[in-house]
Amino acid sequence: MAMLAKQVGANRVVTGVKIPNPCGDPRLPEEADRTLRREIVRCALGALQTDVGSPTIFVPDLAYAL
Amino acid sequence: MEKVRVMHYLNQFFAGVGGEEKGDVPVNSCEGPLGPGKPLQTLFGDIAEIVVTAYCGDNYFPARREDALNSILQIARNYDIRILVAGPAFQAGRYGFACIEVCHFLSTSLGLSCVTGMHVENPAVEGYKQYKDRRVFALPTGESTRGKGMEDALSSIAKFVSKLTTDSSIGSASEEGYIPRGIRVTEFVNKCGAERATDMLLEKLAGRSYATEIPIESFEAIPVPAKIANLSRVQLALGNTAGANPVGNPDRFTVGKNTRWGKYRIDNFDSMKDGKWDFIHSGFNTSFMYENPNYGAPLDVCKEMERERMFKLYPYLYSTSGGGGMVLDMQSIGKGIARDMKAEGVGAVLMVST
Repeated sequence: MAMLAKQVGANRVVTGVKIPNPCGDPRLPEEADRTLRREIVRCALGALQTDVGSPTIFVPDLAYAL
Repeated sequence: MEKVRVMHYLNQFFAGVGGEEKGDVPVNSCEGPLGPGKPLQTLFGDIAEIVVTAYCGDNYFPARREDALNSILQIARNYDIRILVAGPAFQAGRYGFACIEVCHFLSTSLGLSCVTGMHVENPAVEGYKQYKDRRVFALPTGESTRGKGMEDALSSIAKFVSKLTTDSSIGSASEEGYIPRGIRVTEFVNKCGAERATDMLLEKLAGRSYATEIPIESFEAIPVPAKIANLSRVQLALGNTAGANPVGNPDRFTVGKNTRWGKYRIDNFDSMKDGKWDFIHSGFNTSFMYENPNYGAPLDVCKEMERERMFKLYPYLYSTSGGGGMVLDMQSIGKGIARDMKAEGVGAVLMVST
């Protein structure tokens, strides 16, 4: 629901995987799931260190997600 | 007179497919009305006919928004639709969001008039106001289907659709009863501006009620915090709106319309799995988080990154439950959490939302 977060004014929004599991994917094997979670957090840390002028969506590299 | 052809958009629940466990169903359709479309059809009488119902899952829509919109557009084209009705969504945020998105997309793609219904506090109302789409009307409904909630919502939708089919000019939001979109329209009135302003001032000075002609938008932009220059020196806090709570719900979050927040020690944990958690939230399928609570607060990887000295992790997890949250309550919770964070020297936050 990154679009909705942006619409209501959250300035730095990171796209999660899915509503019931924003920080991972239960369909992945454990290690890949953890790697995906780390990538989402890495993307969020990048957003914190990036200048933005208005609500902005940051998209993690979800190559690991099915 | 020929009946106006209507498409009805529903989510998986109101289409009768299932609950949260069916949230991923892709776009599908069937001829005629489904679920609440049936009493709606009765209310339409001879004015309009629901020739097709399109539906998809509450989780599918935001995850595959473009695909979903294009599929729904194709159905509307195939059935030569003139009016779209979506919902009513009441307070359901995901469903409300889908309704507004579908309405706006079909309005811009096909020039359709679109009617939806939701509670004024539905988070999707914000997007509706931002779109300022002259062909999309959201009617205010009660909070839920309880009691006469659905009956009243459908009645309101049917009356409005009837007006759309028989009368091309729809008046202002205050005249017609739809949720205002913030579109300013010039019109002629009998008194000049100086007289109207003086009348308003006299009413105000006498303590009588008066109506402003220019309501100020209540939505405030949130000032953008500056970027973090040196993350390794910052105390980073984790937060969540999934309602994570030590088992037993000691702070008594409620699954809907919650008004409380809490913070819970995580400094002794290497992963959320090291603790025992409840997820108090009625708005999504919490079973995945019960299975692996790191999905709701990514503590395992944050601890790993803290050991690598990427940042310092604040030793408590901030938590609240956002399901069906009233805006004023959520703002109050946000302010309370922010005050606590500032007092504790927190410099940055990762807030996981569902």
